[in-house]
Amino acid sequence: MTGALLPIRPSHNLRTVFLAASACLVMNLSGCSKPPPKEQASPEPRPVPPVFSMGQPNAKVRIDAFYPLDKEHAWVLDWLHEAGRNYGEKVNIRAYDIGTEPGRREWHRRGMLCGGLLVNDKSCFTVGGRKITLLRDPNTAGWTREHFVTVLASEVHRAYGQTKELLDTKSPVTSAQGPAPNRQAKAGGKSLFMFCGAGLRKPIEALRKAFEAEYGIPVRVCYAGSACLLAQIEITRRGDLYLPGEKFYIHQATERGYVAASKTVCHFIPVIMVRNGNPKGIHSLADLAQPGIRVGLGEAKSCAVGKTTAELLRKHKLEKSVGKNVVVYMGTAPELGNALKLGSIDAAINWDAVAAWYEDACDVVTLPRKRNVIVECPLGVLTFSKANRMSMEFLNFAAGEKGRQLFRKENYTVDLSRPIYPE
Amino acid sequence: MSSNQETNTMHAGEGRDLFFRALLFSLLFAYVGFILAVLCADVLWLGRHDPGTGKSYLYKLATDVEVWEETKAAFWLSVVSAFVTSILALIVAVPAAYALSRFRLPFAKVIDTLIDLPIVIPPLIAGISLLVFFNQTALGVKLNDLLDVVYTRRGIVVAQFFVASAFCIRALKATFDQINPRFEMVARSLGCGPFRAFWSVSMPLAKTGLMAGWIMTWARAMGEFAPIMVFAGATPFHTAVLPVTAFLNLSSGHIEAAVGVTVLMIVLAGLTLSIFKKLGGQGYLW
Repeated sequence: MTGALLPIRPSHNLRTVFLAASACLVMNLSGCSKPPPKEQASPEPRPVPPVFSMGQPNAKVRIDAFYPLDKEHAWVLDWLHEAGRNYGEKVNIRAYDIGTEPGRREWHRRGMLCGGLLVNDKSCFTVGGRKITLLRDPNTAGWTREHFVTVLASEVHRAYGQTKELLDTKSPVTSAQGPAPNRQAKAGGKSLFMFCGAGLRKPIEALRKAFEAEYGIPVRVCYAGSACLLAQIEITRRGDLYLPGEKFYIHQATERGYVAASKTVCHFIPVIMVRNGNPKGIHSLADLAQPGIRVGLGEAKSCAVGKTTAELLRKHKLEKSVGKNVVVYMGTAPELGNALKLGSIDAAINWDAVAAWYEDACDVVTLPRKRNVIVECPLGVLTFSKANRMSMEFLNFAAGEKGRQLFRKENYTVDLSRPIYPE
Repeated sequence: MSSNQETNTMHAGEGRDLFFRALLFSLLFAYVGFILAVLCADVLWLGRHDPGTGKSYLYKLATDVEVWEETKAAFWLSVVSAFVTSILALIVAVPAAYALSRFRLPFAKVIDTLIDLPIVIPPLIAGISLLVFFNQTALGVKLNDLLDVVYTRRGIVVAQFFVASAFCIRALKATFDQINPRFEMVARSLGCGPFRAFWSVSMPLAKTGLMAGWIMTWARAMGEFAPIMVFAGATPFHTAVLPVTAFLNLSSGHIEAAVGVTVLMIVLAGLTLSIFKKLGGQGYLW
C-alpha cells in the first residue's frame, strides 16, 4: 500500500514527537519558538480566536497552523489560502500567530512545542511509505509543500470522497473519523477484535464508530449467531471481546475460562409480535393458544430467544397449548421477524429490540413485567486478549453513559425502568 | 379388416406419443416456471409498498446510502476475491486435471473421491475444518503465522479456494478428457517434448474449456458463504462478501437489503452461466 497515507496521532508516535520537541528546544530552528513559561498558561484555557481563518466552521477537515506569522513565514498564509481556494467548504482553516501572546496561549493549550501544521489534529503522516511530520520549517525539517498538499487531499478524500481502493481501505465512515487506519488490524494486534451476536449489529456499529473516534483504536467486529461465535472462540482462541445475545453464552464462556470480565450493556424483554393492526386479536400469551393462530417461536437449543420463550411458556403453563399452534421453530430472533413480515406466521414471541426493527410491518403486544422472563446481555473481555487495557476501556465505554445512549437510540432497553415498549 | 386395424394402432401410437411428450414437456415447463416464479418473486416483492412509509421497498433500498455503500464494498470484494481465487485455482487445476485425465494414477478412485469431497461436504463444515486446521494443528498455525489468514481478507480467498478448486479440476478434467491424446502423441512422434506437446497442442485445444471452467470457478467462488463466514468472519466492509452481506442484513431485520443483494447475485449468476454456455462449457461440473 505504498503511496497511501497513514496518519498517526502525535501521542501514538512518541518517538517522533520527542525528536521534534528536542530538536525545537536544542537547536532552536527557524519557525520554532521556545515554549512559553509555565506560569503563563492559564489554569482554565479558553479557545483563542485565530488571526486568520477560512472555510466552513463545521467542515470535516480542519487545518490549524501555528507559526510566527512574520515575513519569514509568509509561505504559511500562502499555502493556507491555496488550500482554502481548492477545497472551499470542505475545510476549516485557522492560523495562530505564535509570535503574539494569544496565539502562544492557544499553541501551548494544544500541547505543541514547536511551530507546525495540524491536519485534523494530527501532524504525523506517512506519505508514499515515508513518515513525515508537519512540524517546524519545511525546508529544514524534511517535508515540502507537496507533502502538505498530498496529506490534505487524502484527508479531504477520506472525509468526503468514496473509498478509493476497496481492498485496502476501511469503511468510508470509519476513515472519516480519522483514527489511524491500522491495516495490520489483527485479532489481538493494535486494534480490537470483537465477536458479536448478529442481532446487535446496529448499536455495535454505532458504538464502534464512537469508540474509534474517541480513542483512535480501530475495532473490527465479526458478526454471527452467538453459539457459532462461541465455537469460533473455542477453536481460534483469539480476539478481545465477546458480546453474545444473552448471559447464558457468557456463562458458558466463563466456565471454559475464556472471559476475564463482563458487564451488562442492555436488556432483552420478550414481547409478542403480531401482524399490523393485530387482525387475530392477540392480547396475551394465552391468546396464542387459540385455534387457528400460526405461531413462530425460537428454537430452544440454538438461540437465546428460544430458550427464554420455553422458560416463559413453562412459567405460564402454556407450553403444551401454545405448542400445538407452533408452525415453525427458528434458529435466530430476526428470522422470526422476517417470517412475520413476509407473512408466513401470525404471531411470534421475540425480543423487544428485535420487534422494534419491524415496526413498519408488525405491532407489539407487551407482557406483564412480573410474569415475564427478562434477560441481560453482557459484553465480555476475553482472556486471550493481548490488548487487555484497551478491551477494558471498550467495555467501560459500552457500559458507560455514551454506550447506553447509543443503545437507547437504536431502541434497545438499557434501563429496566424505561423499556422501549412500556406495558 | 387388416388395413382398419393398422390405422387403429397408428392412432393409438400417435396418441401415446403425444401423451408421452405432453407429460415430459409439462413437467419440464412446470419446473422452469417454478424457477422463474421464485426469481420473479424477489423482484416483485421489492416493488411492493412498505405499509410504514407508503414507498416501495425498492425506493427505500435505492435511497439508503448505508446499504448502498455496504453493498458496493461487498460487490467489489466479492469480484476481486473470486478473481484471485479463480486464478489460484487454475494454477492448481490445470496440471491436476491434466494428470487425472492422461495418466493412470495409483489410488485413482481415492484421489477422485477426495477431490469431490470439498464439493459434497456441507459448506459450514468446510469452514469449521479450515478453522480447526489453521488454529489447532502445528502446520496450520505455522502457515497462519506466515500468511495471516484467520479472520482476514486472505481468509476469504483460502475458503473460496478450498471449495472452488475442486470445481475447477472437475471442469478442466472434463475438457481434457474430450481432447484426443492422439494429437499429443503425433506431436511427440514429431519430436516435441512432453511439456511442449502439452503447452502447444493440448492447451490451445482446451482453450474454450479452460475459459468456461475458469468462469464457473469464479462464479462458484462468488457464491461461497458459510466457510467465509466462519473462517474469515463476517465483518462489514472488511470480510463481508455479497452472500455474507445478505446474511448480515437478514439478521438485522433489513429484508429489503437482503433481497436486493439476492437479486444482484441472481443477475450475476445468470450472466456468468450464459457466458459459460456460450463458451461451450460442459454440463458435467461435479
